[in-house]
Amino acid sequence: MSFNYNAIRSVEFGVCIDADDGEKYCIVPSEKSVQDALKDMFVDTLAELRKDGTALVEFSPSEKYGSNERLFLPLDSELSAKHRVVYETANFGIDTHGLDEPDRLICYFAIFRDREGV
Amino acid sequence: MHKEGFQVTRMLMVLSSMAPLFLLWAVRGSKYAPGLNFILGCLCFATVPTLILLWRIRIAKRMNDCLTKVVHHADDHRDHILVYLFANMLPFFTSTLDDGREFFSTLLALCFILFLFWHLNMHYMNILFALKGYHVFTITPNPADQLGSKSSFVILTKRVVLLEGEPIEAYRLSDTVFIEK
Repeated sequence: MSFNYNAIRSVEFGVCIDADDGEKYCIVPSEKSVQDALKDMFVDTLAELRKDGTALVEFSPSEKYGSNERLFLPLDSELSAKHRVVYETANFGIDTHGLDEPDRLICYFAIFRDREGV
Repeated sequence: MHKEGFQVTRMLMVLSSMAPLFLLWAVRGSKYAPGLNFILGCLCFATVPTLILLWRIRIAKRMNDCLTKVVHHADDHRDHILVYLFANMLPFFTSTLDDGREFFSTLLALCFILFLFWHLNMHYMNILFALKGYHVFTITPNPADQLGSKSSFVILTKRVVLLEGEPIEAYRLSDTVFIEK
């Protein structure tokens, strides 16, 4: 079943923190305005990636890129191993203090689900 | 280790779970503390925490504070309700509050129970949920899930059975208790 981008029902905001015992992935509860902003970012990014005319370029760690580029990474790439694990994870822990120390943030992510729960 | 959120709200939810006891005390009264103040106090403890619980559910719905939880192993914990009823509530129901020592020892025992319920995250134990037809399930996450939480959590749902791998959309009442959307 493919994801219905026009019927996003829920958005979960998560972060990866550089904790004392290594990387820690958790969900930070967010209010509706943050969820809407993430949804807009997602839709805009997708629109940019699907823009006709130019093909996506495969990401290469040896290349230098600008802050906005249209790149992709194959799912079977070694570089996307961590992303696959994050994608497959169910039940991230919740940390309401996840954004208390911004200098410890490694990355953030969002989980979008459509009306069918995909 | 992070500090769990909703410390005060969780304590109010535990107080809400004691609402039947406060109602009973309000009806029965006390010879040690006669008069309207005791009755009003009991009625206040019986209603205000429950109203705050309902307010928390309303806020979670309004803010779409909703997570999709995936069942790995589910335990139907009806026995917790029995423990709640027989081990905690019945001794309080039968205790009289007629003399000073009895009154304060009962209050002290209630404080111990409140602390334990709060500390053990047993704030899901509420007659309100039972009246609305919710079942209590404790979900144990998949230990093979590398990045997922290893801590179990509670889902209140009207379903009778939860199957492995089943996703459940639920509002967050606290960091460990969720109520199905």
